[in-house]
Amino acid sequence: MRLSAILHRRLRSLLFCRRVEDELDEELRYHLERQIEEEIRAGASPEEARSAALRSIRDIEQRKEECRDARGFGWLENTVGDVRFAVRTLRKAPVFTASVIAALAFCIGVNTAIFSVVDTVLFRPLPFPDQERLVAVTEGVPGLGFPVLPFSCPDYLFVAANNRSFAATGTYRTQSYEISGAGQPRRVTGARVTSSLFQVLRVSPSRGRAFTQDEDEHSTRVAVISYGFAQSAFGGPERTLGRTILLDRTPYTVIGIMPLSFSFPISGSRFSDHPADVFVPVSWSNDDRQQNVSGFDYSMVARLEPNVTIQQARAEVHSLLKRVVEDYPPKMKQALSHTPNFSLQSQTVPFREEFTGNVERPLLLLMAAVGIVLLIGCADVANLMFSRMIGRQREFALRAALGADRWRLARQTITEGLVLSGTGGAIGFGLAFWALPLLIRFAPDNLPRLNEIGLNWRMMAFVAVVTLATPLVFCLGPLANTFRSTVVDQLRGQGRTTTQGKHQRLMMSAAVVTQFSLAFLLLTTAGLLTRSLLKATEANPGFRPEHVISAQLTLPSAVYKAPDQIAGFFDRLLSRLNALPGVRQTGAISDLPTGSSSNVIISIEGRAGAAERVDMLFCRGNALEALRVSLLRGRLLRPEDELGRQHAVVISEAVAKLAWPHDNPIGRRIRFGIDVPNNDEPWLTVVGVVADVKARLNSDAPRSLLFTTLPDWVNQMNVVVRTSGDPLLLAGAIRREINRLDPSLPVGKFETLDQVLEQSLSAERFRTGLLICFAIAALLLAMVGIAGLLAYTTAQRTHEFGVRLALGADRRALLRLVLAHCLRLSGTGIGVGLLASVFVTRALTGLLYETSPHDPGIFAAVPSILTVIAVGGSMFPAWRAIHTDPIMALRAE
Amino acid sequence: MSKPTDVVQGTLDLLVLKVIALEPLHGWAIAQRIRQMSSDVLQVGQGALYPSLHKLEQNGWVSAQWAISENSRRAKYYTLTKAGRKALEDEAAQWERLSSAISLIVRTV
Repeated sequence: MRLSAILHRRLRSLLFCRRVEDELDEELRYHLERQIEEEIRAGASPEEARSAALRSIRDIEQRKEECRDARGFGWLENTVGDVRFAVRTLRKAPVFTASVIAALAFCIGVNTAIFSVVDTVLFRPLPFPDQERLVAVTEGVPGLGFPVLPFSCPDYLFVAANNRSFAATGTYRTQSYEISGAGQPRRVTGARVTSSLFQVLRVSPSRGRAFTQDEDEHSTRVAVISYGFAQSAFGGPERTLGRTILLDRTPYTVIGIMPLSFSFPISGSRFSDHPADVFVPVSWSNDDRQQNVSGFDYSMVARLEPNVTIQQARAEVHSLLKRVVEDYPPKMKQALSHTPNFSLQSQTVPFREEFTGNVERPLLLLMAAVGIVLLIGCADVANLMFSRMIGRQREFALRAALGADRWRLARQTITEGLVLSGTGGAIGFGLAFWALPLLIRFAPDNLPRLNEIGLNWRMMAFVAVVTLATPLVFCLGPLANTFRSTVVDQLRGQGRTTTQGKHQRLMMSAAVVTQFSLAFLLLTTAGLLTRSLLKATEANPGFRPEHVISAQLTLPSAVYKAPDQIAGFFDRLLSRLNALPGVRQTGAISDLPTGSSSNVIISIEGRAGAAERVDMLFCRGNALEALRVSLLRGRLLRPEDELGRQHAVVISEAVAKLAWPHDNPIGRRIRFGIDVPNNDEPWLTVVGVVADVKARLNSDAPRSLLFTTLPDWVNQMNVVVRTSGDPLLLAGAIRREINRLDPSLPVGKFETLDQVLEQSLSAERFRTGLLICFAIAALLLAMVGIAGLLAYTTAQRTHEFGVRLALGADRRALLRLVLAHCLRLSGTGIGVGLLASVFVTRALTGLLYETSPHDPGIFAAVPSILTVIAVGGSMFPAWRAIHTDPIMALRAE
Repeated sequence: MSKPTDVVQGTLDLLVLKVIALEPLHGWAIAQRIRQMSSDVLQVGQGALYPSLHKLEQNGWVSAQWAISENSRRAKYYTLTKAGRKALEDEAAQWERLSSAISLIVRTV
């Protein structure tokens, strides 16, 4: 009975607080009345009796209190009281309260949001069973300048058939498909995959089935589609199975739908940027199977055998590829003997590295930045709590001297800390909830695993504990001091002048110095990234993007089979577009200069064995003129070149320097493929050299570009149109002309080249924007920090200031005093920050474009900004100092 | 008659338990009964009595019911519970040991 009954009674006193109180009243009243009766019986008058009874029942409220304590749960009632009391006291210090809550909320919110993103992208297990056994395997031809490539079909098949390291292997290749038969014709990302891919990943369709190896080998036209695609194309997965979709105008039957969580390839992967919506059998043709040292298009993913390590697998694939080279047909071997250091290499890495490579450093940078903000924020909270508590030491000493229970005082202090932490924490979590979707929306869309990002509760708990513990830790320290030192000392005011006070000041100063040095670091990083972004934005891309509009067109090969058909379509389209009003030049180019492009190996006439890796772009019409690529020598490609007997090619300056470093390249000849006797590619004559064009605005290395009119079967082209006015106004007219030529051809989004260029920097813009935000936050927090410390020290020196003023000191001298203190602190912080930054910013090297990590402009600006911030933060304390009323200050003692 | 002594610290619980072991009583009656039983030597002030009663109730040693008192008023009656009886035995034994020990020392002076 004991425990439950006790609990019941205590709960009763807690829950039915009012009733219990009433009963207590009644019981005591009964006692009082009996006492009065007794007195009257003893002969007293009613008045006397009453006052005697009342005297005897001294301090009835105190009795009640004791009864309440005896009933237990008094602590909870007290807690409610403490909370009320804490809220009341905190409201009397609005600036302090707001600063602490804001610092806490910001740190918790932002850290949780950023950590959630970073953790999902970099650390959280992939949504595949036993994902740690998954590996990505690449091959490479380092001798030709391609250290990392996807697999070619025959090499993959050989490794898949002969390895003993992998339990299963699969491969995939994404490509864009025109889709019709499900709503408007449009383009989707599709993936040609081996049937084994689903087994490797251990994911199967949530409805229907995956295709079999048999279907793959027999080129059966079946498709497995993503859940999202089933939703958007057919309005849901229910009525989708068995439907027919047209991929590049070839019918495929939908046999399976993947689960909603399945997103593959993962965005931002090395060789395929976007997840596919449609998965079809890879169904290799005989040509595919013959592609030696070419056709490196298939990303390989494998699952390790249980007892095999990555190193063992890597070694095995390596030796298998050696056998591949040994097994090349004699002709091939002979050809390769001209390339001195030819070999096939391979890398086997955890599957995760397939997509983390590009984002790892920027994300870790962001994480470090929010970590710094967290540190600065915690230092703020610590200092604010600390100085407040020290300011209240006398109050506590007095209360203790007047008989207040020490435990009760401690409890009140803790309650105050908890009220602050609780409010800050609640707002912080709210902020995280609000900020995370915002982060996701502005994140570059090739950020891996965007679809999986959700608030990370573990991280949230961690950040919460760290941040919430700070106020508690820093209010208990001074409290313990108060209890340790004697009441008399405290009341005499020695708490301020003893060494203990010095220690405290030193600690708080150290915190402010740390804040300023960390803020310096963050500000420098943000400054460098901003400068780099501006440089990249202003960089000359090698062509003139303004007034150019483009749209990608892919002619389905099922319909446009012959090169003549493709050439005919583009010729007709370009001549129609040329006739539109407002159009200056038109052309078509296989890839925009900022996009990806086909890597090819070229050999140079007259230089045996010389092979160079270049990026090839096919042009039609006056594409180069429309792009205003700047011509350095010779001439640009002309429409007539497409007909010519002599194949013309225009090279970028980088290629010219590679191939003919000392000679005039005009009139020289190159051809695709390595320089072997049986290379039957036609020779191409260089007719012009153009300035280097950048793939991405922020890439330092110029691209080796080759513009040619060959081959004529390229069916995916970007139509580029230079206009005299706003290029987007012509989008409708261009679309109409395309539709007139082929009504079922989907036309993608029209974009101006300005937009395309801007998008190429979206990742940089995202991270730079975030860093600027964090730097501003760090500045504000540092300002709060120094303001808090100065407010504390000036408050402690009120007496001294009062004496100085009374003795006739100039108020300006006081101002100088406070400012000097402020500059001493911030100066030290800036000095430390400067030293640290010199070392730390080196780590940014790879992320900066044409900006030195020790950029003098930034390193000069940051200290000035921080000094302004410090002086700004000292304004309020300084104002307080010079407005000290000497009489008040002295009387307060 | 000398002035009644305040109850020895720490023994009030024992006295209360002992008094209500005979019959359920309300607070006033408990104080009166202690005084009578000690021939006016021990006096329990309400300031000590009620907190003690409430504590005993929280401990589960006594239970309380509202009932009509001898002067026809509502009063809170305290009854000894089973656990209370056990506690009374323990406390009484404890007291026996303590008081005999003290007597020994006092007598030897």
